[in-house]
Amino acid sequence: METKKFTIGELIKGYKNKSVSPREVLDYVFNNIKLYQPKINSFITLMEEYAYKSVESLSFDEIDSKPLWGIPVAIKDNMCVKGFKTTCSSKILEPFTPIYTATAVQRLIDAGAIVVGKTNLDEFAMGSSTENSAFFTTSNPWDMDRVPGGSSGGSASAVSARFVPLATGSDTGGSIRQPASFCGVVGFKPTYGTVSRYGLVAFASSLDQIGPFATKVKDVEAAFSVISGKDDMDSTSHPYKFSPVDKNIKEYKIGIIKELYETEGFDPEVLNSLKDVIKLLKEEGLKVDFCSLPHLEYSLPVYYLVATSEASSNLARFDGVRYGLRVEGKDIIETFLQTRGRGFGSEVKRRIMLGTYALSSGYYDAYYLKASKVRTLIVNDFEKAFEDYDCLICPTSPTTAFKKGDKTNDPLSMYLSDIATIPVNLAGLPGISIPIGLDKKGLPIGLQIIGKPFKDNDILNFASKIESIINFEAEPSLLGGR
Amino acid sequence: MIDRETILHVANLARLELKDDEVDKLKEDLGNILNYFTTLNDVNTDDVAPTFHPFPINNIFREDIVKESFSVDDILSNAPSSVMTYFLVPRIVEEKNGN
Repeated sequence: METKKFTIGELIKGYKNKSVSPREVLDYVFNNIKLYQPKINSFITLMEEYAYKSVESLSFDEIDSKPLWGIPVAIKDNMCVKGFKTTCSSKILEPFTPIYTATAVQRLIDAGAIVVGKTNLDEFAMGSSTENSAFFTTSNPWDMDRVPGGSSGGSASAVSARFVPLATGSDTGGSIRQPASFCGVVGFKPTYGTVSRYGLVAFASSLDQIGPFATKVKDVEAAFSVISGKDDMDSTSHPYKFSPVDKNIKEYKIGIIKELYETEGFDPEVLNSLKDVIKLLKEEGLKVDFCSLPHLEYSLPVYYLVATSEASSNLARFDGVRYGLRVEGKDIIETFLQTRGRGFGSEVKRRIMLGTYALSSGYYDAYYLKASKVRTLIVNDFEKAFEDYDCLICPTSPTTAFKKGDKTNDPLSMYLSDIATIPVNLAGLPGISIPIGLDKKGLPIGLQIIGKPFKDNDILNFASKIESIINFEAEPSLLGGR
Repeated sequence: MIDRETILHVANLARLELKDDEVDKLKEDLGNILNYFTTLNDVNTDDVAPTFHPFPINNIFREDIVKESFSVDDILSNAPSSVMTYFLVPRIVEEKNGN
């Protein structure tokens, strides 16, 4: 099979005209995984037997009613699939086998998708390189010495290596968009609340969102059409009505975020790529101007106070009583201390400590409350910008994929990798990263498009149009051998 | 910026057992991170309401009807230790004479 044909649209076309069967596609999937997984390490758990069984139960009569009929999908290992380990890449959850399936995953399955495995991540989705996994590091298919980004690095690399045409991620501060950018694929973080989080292991509840990875915008749109909408099992879920938009690209007014353009720390090659896109948009006749988000520079401290505070509370449930690892002490308190002390890795401990400190008596007002107030100013900046513009654009990440080990000893420099994605979570907005070019090292560069809340279909349409203008066709060189 | 006692106090609040070298590393890391965060003090937030959630949401009550739920066996299937229908944990309450 040609890798160019490994998209949802092409596969379904092939299924319909019977030139290929879902079973043959699974053979292709598992064959590639066997060849390249040892190098790339996208997966923690492979579900080969389950996948072939699922294919048996597909009925050809349903191909028109199930939009993901026979489409292989990889699931980030912080989402529950009943009967298969869900580890969050943490020792503390290593023995955990969920007794139910996450709503988003169930909706994919109900739409005909075939789950083939669970993918690696930074422990509890805390990180930007997938190096915080307690098990192993994942490689970037474009350069094996480099990180795939994070925290959904397993899913992004799996799509990039064409192991699967579709994968799920979760995004708390950029964990879908930043790895999509590093791996040269499309990653979409929908508006907060549009996708149920039932069965997603919680990290920071006011920020977490599930979304899809694919190689084309139309494919993430197809997945979003299936997973979005109200779920009674998640009280924060929104009754979003998916409705495709087909608007001429000329109708969009585009704002370039000034604070993420003329900024130190942004690689000139990344900015040049953005400039090329701006030129293309102007040639198409779009109105493109600079806009300002004055409080954006405070996003990082606000995010790390809010996210760690919420995480310290959410992760209190891992105590060795009901599930997961237990390191038994002489009494219950010692059991808690030892279980958590040995079960969590260093970045997770760092964040639990930071969050506990920010919420602790005497510091709450100065840290958590202060951050929540500055968050309001960031939300207001976006609201104001969206009075004049339909979409905002900026680089997804200041650099292309960095080398493994480059930032592991400096948490602050690692955090800066998410400077452009974090503000979007603080305001709950939809954001998508699409590949727009390669740097001189041959590494992909991503463009982030940010939309108004609940205008997900609007930015998907814009992203799809701009994707066809840019026409990014490059693939990792390892695919040349297929 | 942050002393060893504070690290140990917070670690106890978070129920995290830390090794000595972890305490040293956290003291340094948290010190640096909190120092960087002081930039927030430059922002005037008088009269600004905090945002705890991206969009206004209210509690939603569902109809109080009985639905099928998980079985006790399923729920206990992940327990590190259980007996009958209970999770088993080390002793919580001190033993008294005669008990």
